[in-house]
Amino acid sequence: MGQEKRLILAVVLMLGVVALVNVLFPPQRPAEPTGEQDAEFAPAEVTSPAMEEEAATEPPQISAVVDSATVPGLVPAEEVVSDELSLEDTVWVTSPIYRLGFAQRGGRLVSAEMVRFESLAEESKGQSVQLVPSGAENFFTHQWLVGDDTLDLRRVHFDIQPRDGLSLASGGQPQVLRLVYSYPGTQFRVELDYTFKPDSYVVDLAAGG
Amino acid sequence: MMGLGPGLQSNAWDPENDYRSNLTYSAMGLEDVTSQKVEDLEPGERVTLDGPFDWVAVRTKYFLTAVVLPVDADEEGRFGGLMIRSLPERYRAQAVASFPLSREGDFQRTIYIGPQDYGRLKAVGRDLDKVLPFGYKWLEPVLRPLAGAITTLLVWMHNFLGLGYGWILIIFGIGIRVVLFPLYQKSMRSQMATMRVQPLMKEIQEKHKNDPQKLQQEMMKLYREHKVNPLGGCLPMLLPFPILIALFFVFRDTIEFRGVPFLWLPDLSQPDPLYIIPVLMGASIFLLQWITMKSSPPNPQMKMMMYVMPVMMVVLFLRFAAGLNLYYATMNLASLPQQLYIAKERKAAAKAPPLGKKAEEPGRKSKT
Repeated sequence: MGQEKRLILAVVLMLGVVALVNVLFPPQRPAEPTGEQDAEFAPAEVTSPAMEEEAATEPPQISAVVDSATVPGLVPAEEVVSDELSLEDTVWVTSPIYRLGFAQRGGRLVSAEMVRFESLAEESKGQSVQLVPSGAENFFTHQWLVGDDTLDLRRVHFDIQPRDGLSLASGGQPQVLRLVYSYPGTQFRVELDYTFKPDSYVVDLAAGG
Repeated sequence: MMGLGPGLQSNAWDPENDYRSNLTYSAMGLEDVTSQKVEDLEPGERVTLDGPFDWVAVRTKYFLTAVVLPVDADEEGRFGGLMIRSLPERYRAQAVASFPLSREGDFQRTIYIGPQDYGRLKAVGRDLDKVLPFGYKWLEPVLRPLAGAITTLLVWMHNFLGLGYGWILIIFGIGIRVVLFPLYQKSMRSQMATMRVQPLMKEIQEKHKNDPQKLQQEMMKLYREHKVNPLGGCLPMLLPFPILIALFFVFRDTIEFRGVPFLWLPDLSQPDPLYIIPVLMGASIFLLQWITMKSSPPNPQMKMMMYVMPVMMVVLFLRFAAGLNLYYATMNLASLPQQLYIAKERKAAAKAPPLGKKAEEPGRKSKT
């Protein structure tokens, strides 16, 4: 093969490679969902078949404690809406790399600022990157399926300890933020322990009923 | 069940484009990642991704929130599914991940809230780094480790040398060319050797055109005698391409290059707003071809390619990340000294008497 032919071959190969990048590698196409498309989002129905089976055959022990007939908290979310909604105190966890805000209502994440990254968007240019959209309702909220009922924790009031939040210093020890929901008049409580490590974007969550 | 929020807020130069192209819910199945772009959902549409999943996540181009089954946790605690419902607001959805509780109602999860930093995602485990897309799945086994290695090397160079990523890319481009120097040299010499024995090859082809077996034997003998490897000229020239493709993905999604300015470039991960780097890249291709052409026998096709090829490459690379263009232009420019040296050798080789009987006939000697 002559040199000119080699060159043309090389050019064709180069163009082929570039074409592959442009044409054959579009942003990854989402895989077709294989599951039930019509799944309702009503609390008691939001389960995979595997979950439903498990719930039906092996209810968690907490079902003995939490009963919809005796514990009014175990009703759909809409009915839980109460004056607790006004309790919007946010507890902050600050570290050298982020600033996270947890609301008492639902114990949800309401703010996640990445303090080492500046926003490039026109409307927030120069500010820290904020990952949680304004008004986001269910970041890290919980609904626990108990038999046919759902314990909806999305709008209940969590007591957060320490109330002043956490301040993590670089190189320091991990610290725990505890979110506790206690249903008045019962022994039922939910504890969510978030363990934060300085200089890490990883947060460990340990929950117990 | 655990809520995964309505999606993430984009902080990119062009949030609309970020939402449209990148806002995706993903989940890691037993073998692969399943994803659902929010853009592809009609308002109110519901989609269920069926598990079991090791992790569920929502991401934009550079940031990610993921809930992961801890590495040491029982695999029975995997997520059963991820249910997504598109909201009336554009690029907003509600996602809920289901997973079984223990009889005591206890569970553990690892949460990641932060940048899509390859090293950090890899450290979380459960293949969370696979949330970064790499085009077609069949290319992933090659591209993912290569892109990971390149990212790690660039970050290490940045930290070790204390230089900005623009300069690191220039050093990296030169380094790649230096590493490939011996291979490229061998390739070019192999090409010259092949050219030199071409008259003999033609003679053999004519002599044994009716006996393919004999033709093959004679050709192999010729290759052995003159130490010619017919593939030796091509393969080394292809080596930079996997790196180029891997870099395409590195610049597309790697947080390290996000918003990193260099000289007049506001962001190495974005196209050059003044198009200087792509044009420089095209000029470097033109220059390399011009040197090759000057030292080769006249060829109209080659001359045409010398003009067409750079233009095509500039058009193709115009909207690619400036960092990718910077690397490619640097690598091309760094190969100029070698190209000049090879051209000199080629000229000297062309002056040597050609091999073969026909070549020795008057008037058949090639010009230089």
